[in-house]
Amino acid sequence: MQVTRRQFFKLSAGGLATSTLAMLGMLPQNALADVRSYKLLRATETRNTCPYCSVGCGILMYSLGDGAKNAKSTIFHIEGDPDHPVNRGALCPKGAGLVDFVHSENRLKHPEVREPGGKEWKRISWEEAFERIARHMKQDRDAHFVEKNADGVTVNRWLTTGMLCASASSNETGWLSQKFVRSLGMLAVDNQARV
Amino acid sequence: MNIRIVPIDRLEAGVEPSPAPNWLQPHPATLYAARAARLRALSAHHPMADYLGFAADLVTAQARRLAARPLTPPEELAGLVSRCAEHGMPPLAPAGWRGRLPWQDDLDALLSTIACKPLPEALQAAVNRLAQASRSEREAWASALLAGDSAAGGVAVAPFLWAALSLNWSQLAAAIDGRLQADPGADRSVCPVCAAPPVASVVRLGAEPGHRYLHCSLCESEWHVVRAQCSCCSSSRDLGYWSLDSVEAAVKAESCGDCHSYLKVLYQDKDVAVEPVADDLASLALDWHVEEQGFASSGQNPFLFVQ
Repeated sequence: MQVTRRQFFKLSAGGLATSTLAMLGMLPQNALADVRSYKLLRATETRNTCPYCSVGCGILMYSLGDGAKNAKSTIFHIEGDPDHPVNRGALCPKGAGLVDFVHSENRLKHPEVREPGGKEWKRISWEEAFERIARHMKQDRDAHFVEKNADGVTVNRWLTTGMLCASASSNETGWLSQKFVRSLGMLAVDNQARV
Repeated sequence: MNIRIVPIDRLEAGVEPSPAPNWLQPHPATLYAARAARLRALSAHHPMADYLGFAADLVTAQARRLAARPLTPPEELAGLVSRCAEHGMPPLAPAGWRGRLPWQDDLDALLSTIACKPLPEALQAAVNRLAQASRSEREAWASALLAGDSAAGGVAVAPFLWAALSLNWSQLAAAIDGRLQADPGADRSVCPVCAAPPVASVVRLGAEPGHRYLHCSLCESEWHVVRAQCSCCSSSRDLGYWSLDSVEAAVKAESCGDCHSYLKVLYQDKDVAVEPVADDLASLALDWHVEEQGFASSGQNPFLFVQ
């Protein structure tokens, strides 16, 4: 926090009575009479990165609510961040529609599975999802892991499974993805969702 | 890590121009007329109609004085801007200009224009007090006022003093041939041209769409400060954007949970006619509500001084 040369003033609480307005005899009796009839609203502006693609455009998200425990915050507007060096306030049609994506009824909010041959998507728990993914990965890796190539050189690679990661990732997330994927011998990894 | 006005002929070659200009120089020739018009428009059906009307009269007097007797920029201006650029200092900081500007003549002109029509008693008393004060007395009041002390001369005469001073400073700022260059992280809380506090900030349309500028209370410059960041302490941890009745309002108060201050933000995309001084003055109801939430104003309106 910087120390500034800006003074802080209380204008209305007692301040008005000794202000220019009062001293010039122009503080009307009803100057603040109607203030209580207004409803005070609080919004928040939050910086974030668009999740759609690897360009990584900066966005400003406007939400209602102050983050208090019992108040539910809702995003009501999203726009390009004019101060962001990548997009300088601009957004593509997908980015411009972000607020509808946030509130979409079709938005995926929990893990689902469609069994082989099945037609219905079925909701499962996160625990169950992790277990299933881990089991599939292990089965496939045990069956197809390549330790040595035709010349007998150790290669330790796993070519039958790949991983697609999020586009709006930080450096740290990218580092973690790389560590995880390479430690399993997986070669097919894409951290740039071209959707 | 400083911020400075650099003369055009000394701009470093090869420096990429920033996408939005850091500094919007004032245009006194249009500024005062637009402000007076906005004040009159806002005064209709307003509880403070009389005061907004008086403010419009004083701004109109500024416009007339500007047209009748524009300031000839002093010869030392270019040299001073150049020296200040070297040391990262605001070239129009009031301390460097004491006694060098004809603001007292402008003040007399403003007072006689205002006194043309019959004035309420208290207003007339303030005009008389200034008209009868000696030049050295007025100089002392002005120095105190520019240093943030409105009590020396009294808050009743402050708007007149400020109007005359500001008329000089805005013309000086308009006469500078330079650009604003800032190192990353430089302090942008006060005006980089004259070190005065802002009136309010404006999110602009036009050539700088969506960029936020702080509007100087003294020299009428506007300087860029990124959005979603406290204009006073640079924190972005706990900002609130307060408005009355609608979140789409053109006038909001940006409050900071770290330094507990607020400054109004005006959105040109919500109302293209917003004007920093006029809209800040006409939205006292918002000040009242935001102060109830525990915040204090960090701006200075040229028509509202408190002791």
